[in-house]
Amino acid sequence: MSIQIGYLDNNGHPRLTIRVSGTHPTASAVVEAMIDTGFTGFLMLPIAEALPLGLALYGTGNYTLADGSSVSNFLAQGTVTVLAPTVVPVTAATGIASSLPTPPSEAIQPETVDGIIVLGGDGALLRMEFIRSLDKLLLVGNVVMLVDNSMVPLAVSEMANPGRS
Amino acid sequence: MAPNLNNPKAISDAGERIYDERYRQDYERDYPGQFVAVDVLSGNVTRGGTSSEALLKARQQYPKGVFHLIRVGHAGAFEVGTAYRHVHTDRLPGQ
Repeated sequence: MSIQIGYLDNNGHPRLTIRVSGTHPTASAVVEAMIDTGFTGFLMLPIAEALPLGLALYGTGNYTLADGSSVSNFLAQGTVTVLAPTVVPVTAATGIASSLPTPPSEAIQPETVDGIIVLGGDGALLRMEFIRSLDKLLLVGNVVMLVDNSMVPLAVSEMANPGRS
Repeated sequence: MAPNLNNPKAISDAGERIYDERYRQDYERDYPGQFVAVDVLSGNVTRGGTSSEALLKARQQYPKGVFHLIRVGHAGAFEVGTAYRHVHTDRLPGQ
């Protein structure tokens, strides 16, 4: 069982602190990636941030935009690790988070997964394929959490029968 | 003739052309929603349930390939979700 914690930025967007690495043995970048469930794909990363990492270039893929037009982007393989947040969540500053249950510290662990990164855009965007590849449930409320899908039946059981487990 | 590999649009166009000519008809009947990596140098294709699976398998099978990714039955490999079709274009890649 593991949980990853994110945060809401000043605009209320859910974000995770991630480390992105490629083929370069020592190069990696820590970025504050917005979770954007409205788009398909794994991770979009601006080319300027991707170049120093030595990501393995695979080819291209087209992004279909809302008006039906498409943009061709380069695709590369990379490794993404979810880290503990390096930004103090806004909710903590307002005191809202302090009233929420805190996961046990031993459950908060980094998670690493390989995937295809779309090179482009203005900022790092994590997308639905990333969530699915980790087999996680994304919770966004006053806090942002990724929890194992296997925990859902336990949580539902606990809600149905509080105090029994 | 190999496409200009420095130009993502040229790679994309070559991949789409190969897919249209050799695979689209059968794949849209048999593999809707799956991802296909088209090697634009050889014309070979590799399928997968996700973009990562298709491309990682493609790299294993064709180590020197240059791939264009297609999602069967979709206009692009990636797309804006239906819930986001009203959003301002500053949320979209390349804008």
